[in-house]
Amino acid sequence: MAIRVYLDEQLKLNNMTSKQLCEKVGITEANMSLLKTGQVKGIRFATLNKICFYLNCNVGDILQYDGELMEENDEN
Amino acid sequence: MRLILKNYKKIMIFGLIVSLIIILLPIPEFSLLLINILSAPLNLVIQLLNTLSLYHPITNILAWLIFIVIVISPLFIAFKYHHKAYHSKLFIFVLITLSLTSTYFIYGILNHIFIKPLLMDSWNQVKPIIVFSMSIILIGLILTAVGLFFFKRLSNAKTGILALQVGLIITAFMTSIMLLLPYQTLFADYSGSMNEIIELLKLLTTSLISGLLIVIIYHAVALLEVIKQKTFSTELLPYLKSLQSSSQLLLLFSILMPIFNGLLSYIFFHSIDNVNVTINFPFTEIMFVSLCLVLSYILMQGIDTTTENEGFI
Repeated sequence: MAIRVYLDEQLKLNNMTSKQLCEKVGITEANMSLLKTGQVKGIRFATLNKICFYLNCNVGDILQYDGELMEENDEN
Repeated sequence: MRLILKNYKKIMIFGLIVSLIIILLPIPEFSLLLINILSAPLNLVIQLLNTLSLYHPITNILAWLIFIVIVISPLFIAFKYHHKAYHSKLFIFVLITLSLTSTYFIYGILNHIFIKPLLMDSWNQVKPIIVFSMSIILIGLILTAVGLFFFKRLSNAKTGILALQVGLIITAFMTSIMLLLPYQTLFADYSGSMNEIIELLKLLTTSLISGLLIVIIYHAVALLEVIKQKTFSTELLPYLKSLQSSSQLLLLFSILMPIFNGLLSYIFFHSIDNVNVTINFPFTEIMFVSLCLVLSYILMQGIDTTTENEGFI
């Protein structure tokens, strides 16, 4: 996986549960779980904007590039 | 309407059975037989008019008046209640039924069945006038009713699809009826000559193309049923694949078979100077199938985009 997701860390920093964030952002817990494990094909700017707003962080705090190239098959 | 849609498979099968029955009946004038079956409910009225017409000159006038009222009624209703056409299915149904009734009456009068000419000694004097005027009125009425029916429904996506499905089912029904009828004419005086064998091959080609067209229509109706629920759903994929393969097959047949028939005719008849061998491509079918292929390609692209979009959160 080339893009790593650090949502759990940001949730801990903000003392917020995953469920609370889901309710605020307006996505399902299933989708949040997929996002945490990096199994989604993409994330909309609107969703990213809300996550950053409610977690009071930057995009780079949630998503980080690990220096590898993602294979096409890894997307699914 | 929904009843027709639910039973479209049965209607298609019924069309085939009817055509088979007509072929198996030892009556050469199958078209007359069809008209007789369809016009059976009107026979009672026709008999009444016939009796009135022949009884006395005054009752003949009465018979003519009744006839005119019946024939003009669709036109009258269309003018009187045209504003309701957009809201009432019953209105359109009544209009179409009355128009068809009038058609049967015109058919009756043109065939001297039930009424004798009024105030004119020669039937030839009145016939062209009636044929011309009534044809225009009836065709206009039927086309208006059908146009209103589809126009109203096409403005709404779901009912538009429903109207399209009904149109396709009617096409399939008519195609299935017409599929086997030409065989009866051919086999009525079949002697097995080379000319007849070539004709039979041509008929088989046409039947094959028509049969495939019915299969495509079947797939298209089923496809539209899924589209009504969701336009770009993955559930469409099996229907789209079936539609594409049938369409490709029909396109291939539509192009190759007429060439094959033309070559066959040329091989057997080229020695005869006055025989003109022509190749006739079924352009209507080719256009319909091409449209199906283009639309299925667009739908496939739409499904891909939707599936990709659904992977985003």
